[in-house]
Amino acid sequence: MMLPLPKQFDANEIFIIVSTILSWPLMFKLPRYISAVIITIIWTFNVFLALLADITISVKPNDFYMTIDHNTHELFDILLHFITYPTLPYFVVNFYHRKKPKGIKLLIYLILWSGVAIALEWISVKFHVFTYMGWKLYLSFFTYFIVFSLNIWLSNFIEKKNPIKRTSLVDSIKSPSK
Amino acid sequence: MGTLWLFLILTVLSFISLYVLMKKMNVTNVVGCYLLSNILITNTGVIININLKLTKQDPTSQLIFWTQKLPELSLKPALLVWLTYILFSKKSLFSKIIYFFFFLTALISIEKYFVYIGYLEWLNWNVFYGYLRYSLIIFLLSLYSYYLEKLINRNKEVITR
Repeated sequence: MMLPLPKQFDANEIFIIVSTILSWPLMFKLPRYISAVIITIIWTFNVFLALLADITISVKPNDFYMTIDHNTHELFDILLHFITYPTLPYFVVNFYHRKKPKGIKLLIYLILWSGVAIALEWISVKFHVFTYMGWKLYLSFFTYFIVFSLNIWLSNFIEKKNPIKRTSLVDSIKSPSK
Repeated sequence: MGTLWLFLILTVLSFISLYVLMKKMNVTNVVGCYLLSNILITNTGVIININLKLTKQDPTSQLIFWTQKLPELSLKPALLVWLTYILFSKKSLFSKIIYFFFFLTALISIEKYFVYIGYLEWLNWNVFYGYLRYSLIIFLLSLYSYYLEKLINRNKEVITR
């Protein structure tokens, strides 16, 4: 089968669905501080990272962990990679752009979000979304720290390359050619 | 070991070529297309290899594993991003078709080379399917690039009250 369905519809599938249902309305409800371009790039970047991890450290000859039920690429893997997982980095980048903390404040910000991420990963391990086969939770902390740092760097880079030029409505009426 | 060195050199050249492309194409679009091409290569690759078992790839050592991963992360995406750029350029339709087949042949040649050296086995897979796979990837990549470019242009001017 091209994308296998779950062997059994159990805890891990329910966890993915519930976390998606909880996180998506939050994304639309909470204030947005980043442009659609940054969201698109950040989203693509995190799908890329999730897949990169899965094709390098969760397959032979490394085999550090397994996702969901199969060793195959199943439908819920796609949902996890494309829909569920990128929401957390979205929140990290979005709230970073609210005040853009620097120095020690940025370090604390990254540590706090990495803590949130490993807490969520610990719950997902309990729900058998991930099965560790040599991987350790503390390694995830460092991984998330690096991943979130890269996300923030990338969002700043994209913002620098595509600055939003704000024009007031009054100005645009006065000079429509602008 | 020689193959790994070959792909290491090609990796460096691929990233240099992407840097050059950034001078011609919007940087954000290059980054987005590079990331999405990786996603599409990996997803279709995993479906073909693991789910449908049309090819067999069983890396027994880190050397074989990384020799195959390097072009997947560099050379193949670079070729796809360059092809996307060419398809949206002002070249004639005829030259675009020529480039299209040239780039797709280059992509399939990488896989054919791995088959030749015994790193990859084509069980129920052939060159024609390879063209279909990369045509689908380039179609999705072009859609993404087109809408991302529109988004970038829209982002340039936001009227506030």
